[in-house]
Amino acid sequence: MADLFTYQNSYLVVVIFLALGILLPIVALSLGRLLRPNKPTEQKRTTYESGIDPFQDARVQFNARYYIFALMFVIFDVETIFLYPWAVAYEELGVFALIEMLIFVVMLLIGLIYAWKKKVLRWI
Amino acid sequence: MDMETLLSYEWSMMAPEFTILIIATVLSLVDLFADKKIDRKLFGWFGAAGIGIALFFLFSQIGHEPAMILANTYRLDAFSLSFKILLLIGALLVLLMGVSYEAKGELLYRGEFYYLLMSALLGAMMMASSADLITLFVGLELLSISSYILAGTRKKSTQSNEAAMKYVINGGISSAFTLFGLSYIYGLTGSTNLADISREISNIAPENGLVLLSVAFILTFVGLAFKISTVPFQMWAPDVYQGAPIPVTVFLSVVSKTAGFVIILRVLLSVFPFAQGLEANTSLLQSMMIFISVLAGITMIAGNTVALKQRNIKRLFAYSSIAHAGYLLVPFVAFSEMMFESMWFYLAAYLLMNIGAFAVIQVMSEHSHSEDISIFAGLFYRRPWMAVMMTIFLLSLAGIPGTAGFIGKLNIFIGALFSDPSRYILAAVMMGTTVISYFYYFGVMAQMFMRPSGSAVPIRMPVGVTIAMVFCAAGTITLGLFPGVVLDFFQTQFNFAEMFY
Amino acid sequence: MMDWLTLMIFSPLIGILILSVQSAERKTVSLTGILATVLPLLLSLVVYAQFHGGGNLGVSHGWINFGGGMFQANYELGIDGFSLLLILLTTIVSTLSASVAAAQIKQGLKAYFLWFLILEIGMLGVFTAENLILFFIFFEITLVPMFFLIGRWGFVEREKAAYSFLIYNGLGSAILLILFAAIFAKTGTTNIEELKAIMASSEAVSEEFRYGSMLALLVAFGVKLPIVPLHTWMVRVHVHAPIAVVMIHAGILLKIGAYGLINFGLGIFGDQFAKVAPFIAILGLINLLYGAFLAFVQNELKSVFAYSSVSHMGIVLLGVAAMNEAGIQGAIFQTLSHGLIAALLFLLVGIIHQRTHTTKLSSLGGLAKRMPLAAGFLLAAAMASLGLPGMSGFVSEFMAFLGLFETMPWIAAIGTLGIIMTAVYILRAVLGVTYGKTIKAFTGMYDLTRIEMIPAAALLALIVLIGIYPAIITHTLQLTLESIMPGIGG
Repeated sequence: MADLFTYQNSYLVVVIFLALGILLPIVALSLGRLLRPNKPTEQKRTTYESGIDPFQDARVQFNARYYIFALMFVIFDVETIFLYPWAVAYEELGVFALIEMLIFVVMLLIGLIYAWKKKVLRWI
Repeated sequence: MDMETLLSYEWSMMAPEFTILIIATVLSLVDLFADKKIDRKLFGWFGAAGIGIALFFLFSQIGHEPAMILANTYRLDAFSLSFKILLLIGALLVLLMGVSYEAKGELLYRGEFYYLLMSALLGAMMMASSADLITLFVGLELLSISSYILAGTRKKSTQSNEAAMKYVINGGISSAFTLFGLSYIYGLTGSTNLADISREISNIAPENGLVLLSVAFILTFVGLAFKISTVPFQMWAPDVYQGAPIPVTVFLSVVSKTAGFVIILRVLLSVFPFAQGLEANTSLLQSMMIFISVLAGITMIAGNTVALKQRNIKRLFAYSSIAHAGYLLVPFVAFSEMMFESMWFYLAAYLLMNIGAFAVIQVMSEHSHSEDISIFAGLFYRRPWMAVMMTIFLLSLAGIPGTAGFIGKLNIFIGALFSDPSRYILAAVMMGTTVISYFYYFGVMAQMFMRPSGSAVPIRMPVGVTIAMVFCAAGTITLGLFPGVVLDFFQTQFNFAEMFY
Repeated sequence: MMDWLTLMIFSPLIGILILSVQSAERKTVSLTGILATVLPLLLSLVVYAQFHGGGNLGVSHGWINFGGGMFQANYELGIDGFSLLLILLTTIVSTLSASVAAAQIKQGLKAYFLWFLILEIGMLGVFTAENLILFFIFFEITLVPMFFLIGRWGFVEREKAAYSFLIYNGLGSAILLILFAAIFAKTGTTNIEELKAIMASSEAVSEEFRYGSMLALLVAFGVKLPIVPLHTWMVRVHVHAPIAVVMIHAGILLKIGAYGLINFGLGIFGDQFAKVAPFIAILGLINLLYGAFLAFVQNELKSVFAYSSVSHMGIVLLGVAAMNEAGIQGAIFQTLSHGLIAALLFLLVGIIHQRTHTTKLSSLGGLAKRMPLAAGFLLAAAMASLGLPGMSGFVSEFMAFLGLFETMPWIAAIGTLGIIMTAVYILRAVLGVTYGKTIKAFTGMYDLTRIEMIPAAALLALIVLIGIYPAIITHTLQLTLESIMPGIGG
């Protein structure tokens, strides 16, 4: 059982953090509610005491193409992340790593070609 | 890892996987560059040829000594070989059905269908062959993600979109469960390699690891239950089966399900028989069997009873497929010497009868643009041979003698009652629910033989789907009357002791 | 050496093949259909001759091999006296039923004969199999064609009847399959002879398992026989199935239950059977009296005969429960004789229904004037059914009760009440139909045609032949009884 307890104890920290995280806003907000004076007037109830009332839907739609562009970005982002440490340690890794990296780049290339032929790279 | 070790690997072991990989890549590139006017059905035949080559490589590997390459992550043994045969044959038949799939305006990107099928198949094959939790999971995800897209290939159909969405979300949840369970196993043993795990795990003192290992077992199994669509992760099946195009439905119900059983066997049998169980001198696997047997029982009851109410033929077969997954868990629970034989044979029988039945369903639902049971009305008087073949498939699914399904069930029963302790209750549940299943299987047959046919328009039977249908019918009957053909091959060629390290 | 048994069982396949490529023209189809049933009839006669010529008919080939040689199920055929007689009954009634079907089935005759011939393969196989797995396979093969024959060609509530047939018999065979698999798993064999040897000697099989198996057999075959709480499906089938099918059903399929009970229950688990014999006798008594009583209150001819079947199967149970030679012989006699009588009765009911379009007792009457031959045959069959001396029914009932009086005189005494009741309900129904006053003037009524005379006369001749010369059967049976009796220590 000893190992099990050690294992579980290391999660205790997480549990404490979780509890604190939940408690903090609750305590702060409810304390504030108790301490602050409460005198509502008609003016105070409006959304903006000074300013223009919102006249549109709060939900704003982005063009779906942004998502695809973001995905395309991620492909090359990941590529860079992998390429960088490989380049740094190139001397030690040797030819095998070169081949591996080539395979990796070719795979991404196929992905790029796919995106290109599916007209992802063109706006509208 | 340097060049020498890399070159010293026996790469030919992976020849079937490489074949599928190359085909999938080539198909995806050709689909991008080829002219729009080129009939994409050619891809299907090309893919079928590729699977044929892979099968050839696979058969030439039979009898190979168990071996591992790639730092012990890829394993060739009787287990992986025998199940890969099923996966490949299943995918081949699905491909043939896909070539003939003509439903109006449904498959807008037909090329995609073929190479996604290939990549899903590749994932399934990797699952069968991997000896490492990481590659197992990568294979599982490759299969899953390809299937998610495949489920949504009817782009204009809201049902198909719904199916894909449901499948992704449910699949994600179940993957999380599996991964959580696997992470416990890794945490307890410090390795992702199954061989290392099986060695390490017997060293864990029960007072330390028992609770965590039990949790790991339950989480892993529950997560993997998604792939084989058993309780508690069965609810996606009806919606996804209904929404997906029929060839994909077949793929999910046969190839994907077989792969699910493969991964369950591989993970659970590599890890848990070596862990100390709840009582002295038992393994954790034995202690946990009661849990699986309850799930299997509920699955059989739920699948078969809910199927009674279905009018949509695809939903009906989804529930039937859930029920069959329950049957297939029975030999696993019994865990006798015959377990592999029972499961393999039943999966082979299930492959033939289910693909065959779906081939008929595909022809009929394309013909009448409907999926209601009544599309079969009077089939016997319009296409007698097709009705006879459908009858064979349905009888086999119901487990009537003379068909593969009966021999499979008998095999499961003998195993379940031969094992120690004998699983009388589970066998009784299986038999009882089988009788319930007579209602809906015979209901479809009653449509074919006892109802007048609505229309007299001749039914078109495309080549691919006809080949699949005839092959399945012949196979179902052969396995039913002369099961020795396959059983002897299985018993002499595959030694499952190889599976353990 | 010719493998006559395999040849006989699968000979209907020839008919199936010819029918499936033939045109659907009615005349050719009915001719092929009838001829296809004549072929097994001829072959069964060959088998009969071979059996009495002392030829060795047994067949055994390796077939299925489960678990790498652990469980070997073989293709094993063989016959004894009892099964030989049932095979003859099957082929004879099948041919007659086929000729009735050719006359009475209105549409889809080709499909009808296809299913019918598959059914015949199943029935012949059941009585020939020497291996439990093989037995089960043929047993289930009878299930599917029956479902379609009832559901497609039956009367008003045909589909309901078909489903209730399917589910009851499905449950029965489910129990049987689990039992056979358990026996296979425990003993490693399914050969009936080997099992008898194992059960007689070895200690390997626990007493609980034997009792469990015995009960499972009783329930599984009790559905088929049927034993009373499990009989509702059978009445429904008798009323709603087409007449030609009911002939087969009452004549042969019900006998599978008796065959199984005697051959497996008594043959393999003889000791346990002896222990529960009083219980079985009481079940038989209930069957006899309950069936007779309900037959008395029915107002429809087919229901009367359906309950009469229930009642007569009670006598089989009583005979078996007696556990002595006379009793078992009586049970076997009753099995065969009821097969013939029920076939004849339903043949006549079918003809009457065809002419009058009704089987209601209240609307039938005075048939003797309009259809003297039909009425005569009906009366004769009824007399055979109630056990008039000189008919087969008398011999069987007499022997069954003779056996029972030796071992359980009280039950036998109560059972004789049932025989009196039989006379009452049969006479009430049949005399009302034949001699009562003509209630309704049916138009276009005509007597038996010459074609219809053949099956009726053939069946009646057999009934009378067995009645006055029972040795024709006992001669064949003798061997079987000798093999069953040591099993029960009698």
